[in-house]
Amino acid sequence: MSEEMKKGILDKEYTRRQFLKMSGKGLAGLSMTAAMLTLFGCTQEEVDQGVVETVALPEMLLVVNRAKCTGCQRCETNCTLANDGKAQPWLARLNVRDSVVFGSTTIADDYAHGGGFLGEWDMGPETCKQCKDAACMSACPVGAIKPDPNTGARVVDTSVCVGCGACAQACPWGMPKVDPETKKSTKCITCGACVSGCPTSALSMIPWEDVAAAMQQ
Amino acid sequence: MDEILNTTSPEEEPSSAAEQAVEEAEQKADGEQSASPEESQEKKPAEKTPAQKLADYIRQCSIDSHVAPLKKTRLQPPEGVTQEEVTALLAAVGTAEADPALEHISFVQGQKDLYYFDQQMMTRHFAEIDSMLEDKDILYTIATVARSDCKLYPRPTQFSKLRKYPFFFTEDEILGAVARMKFDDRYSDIDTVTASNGAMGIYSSQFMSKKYARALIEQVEVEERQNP
Amino acid sequence: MNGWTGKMLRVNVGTKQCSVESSEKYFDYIGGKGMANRILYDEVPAGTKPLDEASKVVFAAGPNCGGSAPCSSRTSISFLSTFTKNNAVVDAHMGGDTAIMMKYAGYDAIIIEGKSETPVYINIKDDDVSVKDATFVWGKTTMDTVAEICRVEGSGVNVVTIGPAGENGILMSNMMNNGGHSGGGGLGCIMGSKKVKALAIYGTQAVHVADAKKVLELNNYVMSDLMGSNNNHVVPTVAQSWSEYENASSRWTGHPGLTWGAAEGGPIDTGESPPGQPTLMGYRCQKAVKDWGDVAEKYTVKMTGCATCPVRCYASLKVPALEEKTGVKAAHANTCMANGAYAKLLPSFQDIAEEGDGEFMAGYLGCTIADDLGLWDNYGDLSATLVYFMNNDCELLKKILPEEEFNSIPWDKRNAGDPTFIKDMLELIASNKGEISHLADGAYNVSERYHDILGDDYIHSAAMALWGPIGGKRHHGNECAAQVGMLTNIIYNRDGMCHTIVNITGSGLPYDLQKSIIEEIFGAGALDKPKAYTPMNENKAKFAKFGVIRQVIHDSMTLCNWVWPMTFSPRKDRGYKGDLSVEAQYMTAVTGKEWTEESLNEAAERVIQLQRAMTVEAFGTTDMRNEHDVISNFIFDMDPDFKAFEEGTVKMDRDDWQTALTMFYKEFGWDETTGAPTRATLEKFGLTDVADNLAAKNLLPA
Repeated sequence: MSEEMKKGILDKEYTRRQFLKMSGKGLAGLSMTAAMLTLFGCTQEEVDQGVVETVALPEMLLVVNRAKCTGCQRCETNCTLANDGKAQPWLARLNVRDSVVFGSTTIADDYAHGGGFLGEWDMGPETCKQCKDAACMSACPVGAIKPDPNTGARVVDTSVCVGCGACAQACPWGMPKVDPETKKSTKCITCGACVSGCPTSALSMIPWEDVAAAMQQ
Repeated sequence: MDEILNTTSPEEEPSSAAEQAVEEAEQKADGEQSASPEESQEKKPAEKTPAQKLADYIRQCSIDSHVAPLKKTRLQPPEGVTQEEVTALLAAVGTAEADPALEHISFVQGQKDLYYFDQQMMTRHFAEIDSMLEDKDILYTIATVARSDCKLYPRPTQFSKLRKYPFFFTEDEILGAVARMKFDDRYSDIDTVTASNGAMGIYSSQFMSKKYARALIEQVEVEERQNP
Repeated sequence: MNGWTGKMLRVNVGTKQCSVESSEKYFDYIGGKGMANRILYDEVPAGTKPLDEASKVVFAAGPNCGGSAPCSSRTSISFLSTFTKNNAVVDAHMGGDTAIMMKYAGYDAIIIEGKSETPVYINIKDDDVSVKDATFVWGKTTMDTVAEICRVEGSGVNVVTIGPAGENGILMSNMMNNGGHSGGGGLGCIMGSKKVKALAIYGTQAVHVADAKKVLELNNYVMSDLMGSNNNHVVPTVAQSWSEYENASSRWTGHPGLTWGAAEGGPIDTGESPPGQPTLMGYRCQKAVKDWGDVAEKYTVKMTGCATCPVRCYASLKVPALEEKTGVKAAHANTCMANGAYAKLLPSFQDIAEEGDGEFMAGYLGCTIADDLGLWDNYGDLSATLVYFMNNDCELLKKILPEEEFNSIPWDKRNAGDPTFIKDMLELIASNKGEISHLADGAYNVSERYHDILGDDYIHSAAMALWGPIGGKRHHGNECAAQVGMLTNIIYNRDGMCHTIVNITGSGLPYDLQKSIIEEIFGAGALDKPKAYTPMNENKAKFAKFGVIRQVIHDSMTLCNWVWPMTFSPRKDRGYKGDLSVEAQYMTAVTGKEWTEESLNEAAERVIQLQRAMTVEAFGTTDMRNEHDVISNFIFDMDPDFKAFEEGTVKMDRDDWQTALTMFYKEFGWDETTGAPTRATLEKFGLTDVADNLAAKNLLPA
């Protein structure tokens, strides 16, 4: 590994940790700098109301703004076309389809005042968190899920995967899926196909360098 | 949200390959007393020329959807540019002597001033509209827009268009302007038509008859809504 | 298999038998509408009535559906019309998520046949298909039904359902999914007659595409270079820093300062979303303000719409003040006509939250209620009929209603401008308990039922604005490119819903620019100036045919004709020219078979030829010119101060219209006297069996 690469990772990881320390238990209640609000494409009020979620990925910060999600599900088809060469939302590494109608996978008694198309429009994708101690990784009996040396994302080594589905069962958000055609597990590799497919920028990925710059302002 | 961040808590031991690389790099960095991450963010760009600074200023104005008036720019030059430099640099725009930094900058000759804009960030059409708004001559603005609409689309200019961005004229301002135009020979071609729902439009008799203008205002104000 | 799933599902709700068959024999009809029409032709005997046991309903989507192309999730549903003359074949085009779920469940089409004795819903989870008891949701509104079925089947299941209107046999009733997405045409009534409350569909399988990389490239190309806003309007409503043109009539309403005013966490500015930025294009269509005016901005939570669509044309509002005052659900979304039509039931409006908001509130409430009842407005037919009968102090209504029924209607509310009058009225109509429900039989049936008091005035009136007396609403007819738009209407047995032409005339571009691009394709004189049209010519006939053929391509492959085709582009660097080859490029990338514009046109024309033959059969005559293609008198008699062809009017000329029909028939290879398809033409499109069947019934032109 070159000095430059190490330095790059150092900067990224430092920023990531700083961001996590700062955001602690979530963005809500956090006073954001103007530069950060611009970078995240959101307002302080959106942050305060909890519609903005962040996921600190190894390479980038994923920002999900539920106020901007319109339920088109293009993120899901983009994901599978880019990664699997076919359109299969069920296999997508993020999930908005199961919550677009009610805003959540549980249906409120008073659904008309819940979220989603039948409620009051709150909706957004559940995404892979690339957990540090990832349940999918721990559950895999053959060690097929490992951090990618370049991106840090927990990725499936299909040459090792036996398609048992333990990862899918272990993940609290049901993110990994065993592709019924290849019989191999698939999960998010932080490729960004979902982000580029979103027509309202409800999803964005921000490089840690940019987050670092904004945090300093 | 809590769960998400807890799973990636910074207090936990690093475990990913990337994090291990960080650990190594951190250890190395300690020994070599290298720049801290904060310092490494600071990069000093080369000093920009006055022409580049002026181009940046005009580009930013364009990004903010405004032209840069010559007089105002000269009076309050962007930081690091003198009044003389503004005058000289902008005077050369559009000529062979123009500074290369200003190659995308163009201007509109308004009624009262020259207005500069970055052609990559703004169309001439919008620059012309914004220049008229800077000139603050509502009669000229409304007549110019109406003539253009009648000639080009063709259609009368709806009052509703003039009430909205980027014009933001009030109903009273529009009615007042139309009334004043009747006493000004320069605007003898300008008249109004009213749709059956009471919505009004302005047209130029240079480009269409009143009967046609009346039919077109009815189309855009009433009929299109009946046939969405 | 790529694109198509190659399978179709047959569900007999009488026997509860479900079976899977190959769909391959219908690929010559592309899919969607084409496939569904051919299935109906093969399986439903001519002369069948829509509510007969032999009547079938076919849900279908095309090879492109599910593959991620922008705006590719509309469902084509074909069946026999309940509300137009002779019950000829019609299609409903429904948005939402039904089509993609059907594809992901593994089916190009679902055929529903038979009649159940008791309420059922069809539950489809991939290969697991069953006909289940629906007693627990029978009688419920569409939105309650979706919630109840999803509680049983899962939150992500797409439920497409009828409401009380369909259950009660209202001829103008629909099916709804995801709240505000409607499949009309009387579909609700047919499903109700079969006691089918709903379909619940969840698919986990793949739609395979031959070239995923190419599909992604095309998606990016279309969204970056070709697509504008809803109706592919390529010019914004107000001048923006990047634009050369602006047009208030455009549906590209988004601009700096205009917001989604009720977004969670504060207003979201729609801002500038110039061409080349696909990740901002969902902000271009602020449809609430387009449909209702400035009053709706503050209630707009966001824009939603169909799966895969980046345009987002569904105005998704939340109006707590209305709920407080009337008890009607505060949040609902729809687009277009349904948003405002029912406000017309009130002569004046009560303010709800602020001065002057009454008309908006009434329209919004009416839309919410109608969608919940599964009552179909047919592009304003129902509201126009109600107003027609309520005019002049309810003169006509008093003639048709028994006195007791008339007096039971809360007229005091109407007089006070109370929006709950609309609710009461629509619920009364959907209940099918009185004579008034017949006003939802469709204009043709209304005219027949009450002909003694209406004469021919109602059916031919400007107030009803039908394209013709067979009962279809004029939907972008002569007001849209004069003869060209009008000709696209007469092809169908309901409102045409053809948006190919209006997307061009309404694009927002200046006339000269539109004309130069259109004339390059269709030749001189194809496109007239707004409200200044010229006599019919052959290039207009070609242009009109293009409008219809593209629509059929879209309804069949599947793409949304409310946005496609990409005739124009918002980009100056393209000279605002679009790209009409993209549909064929998608078909090639998705199916892996080589498609060209010509081969796609040919397949679409096959569908039209078949539909025309089915119409001839349903009408029992070859004389389409005089029995089917007759247009309403108001189209010739409008604008009394103008003569036809005078600048300022689109009133048609009777002789010129006959010329227009002749030229149009010629373009399709139909008999130029009658407008019926000839044997030669049918055989050219591989429809020899259809020609034989027509010949056996003496329905081929001499």
